[in-house]
Amino acid sequence: MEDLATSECEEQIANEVSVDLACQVDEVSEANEIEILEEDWQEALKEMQTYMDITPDDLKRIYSIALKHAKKRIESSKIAKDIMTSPVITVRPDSSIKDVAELLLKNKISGVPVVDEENKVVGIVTEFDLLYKVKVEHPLTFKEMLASFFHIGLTHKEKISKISAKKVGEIMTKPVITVSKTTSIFQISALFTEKNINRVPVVGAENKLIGIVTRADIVKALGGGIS
Amino acid sequence: MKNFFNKMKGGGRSPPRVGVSEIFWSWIGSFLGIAAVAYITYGFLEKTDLTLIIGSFGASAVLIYAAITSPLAQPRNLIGGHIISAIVGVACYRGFNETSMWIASALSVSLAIVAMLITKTLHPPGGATALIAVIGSNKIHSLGYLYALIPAGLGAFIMLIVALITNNLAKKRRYPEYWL
Repeated sequence: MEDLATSECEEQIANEVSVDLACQVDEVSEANEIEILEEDWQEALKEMQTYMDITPDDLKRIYSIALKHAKKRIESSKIAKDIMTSPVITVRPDSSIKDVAELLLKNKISGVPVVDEENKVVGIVTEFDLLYKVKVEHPLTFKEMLASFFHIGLTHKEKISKISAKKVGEIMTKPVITVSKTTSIFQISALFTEKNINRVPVVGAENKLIGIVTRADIVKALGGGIS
Repeated sequence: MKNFFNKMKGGGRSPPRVGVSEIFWSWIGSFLGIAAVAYITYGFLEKTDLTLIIGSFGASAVLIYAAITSPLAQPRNLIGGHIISAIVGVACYRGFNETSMWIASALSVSLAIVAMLITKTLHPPGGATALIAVIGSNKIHSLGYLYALIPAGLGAFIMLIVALITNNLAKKRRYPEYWL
């Protein structure tokens, strides 16, 4: 059973499909429960290569006490639910790119989750998607593109109307990396670094959106003191 | 009651034996450390009222040359333990030698342990240093509180210098873990 769960995890991570929450949490707790046998302690003492003024039994006792404290510290630390923004500004896959650009600007944000009718997360669209993916398909300069969203440069009228009419579903990033509301702040910040992302949707059952955590939220939470 | 006797069974295993190089460095360190204080004592101090060697240094050598990562073997414990215990020992001798030697002996060791625990300088040979202040020779007795500095403090200091040199000459050793 355990093997099955683990291989599923690996598969998910390998495919970069929603690096699941549950997978990561399980990995951590499994690591904590690795049983260290008598001979492991003996080996460890041997590897110290000098006379250690401690018995393997005492070492074990100290280790388990330290482990207990570490678990308590991790459990009492903040999780996604504590720092996420909710409700979330979202768009639909059939929203137009122009609408998204306006939405981002108006709310001073740089990305929004894309959800379907049932509020299930199907993708995420960011400034990067708007600038890069649109550009690849329609060779416009950066300036032209910015202008295009607001109909400033009318020289490329045709292209512009074409781009603005495009749907979010065509340029959004999918599948999305998501976390659950019990994912710890440490795991989320590790995820940001590892995947080089700036925000991650928080989902509940059936991938339904319940919040979003950004890098700024992490910074804010740390500033408030994790204690 | 059953539990009381059960506790005496132990049950754990003894730690592993150390390697050959560890044994070598423990030997060379303790040889040189004791050599230093013994050489000074027998070479220069024999005709004086002073001495630089006391029995408890043999025990200190075990710790600072053979169990060098132990908290009990760190400089704070080595120097502090000897000096503090020596003061306690001399005080006990002076206070109780005319009343009862057995009380003076018991008090010296037990109070030295208390004093070392309070000052975070627990060093097992300190107990011996305190006891020697009581049961030692007339030469020791006549030193009075000087006993805490010479031989206890100075002797321990010389052995510490040797420990710093020999323990750090070994590639895989590092001493001390901490100073204070």
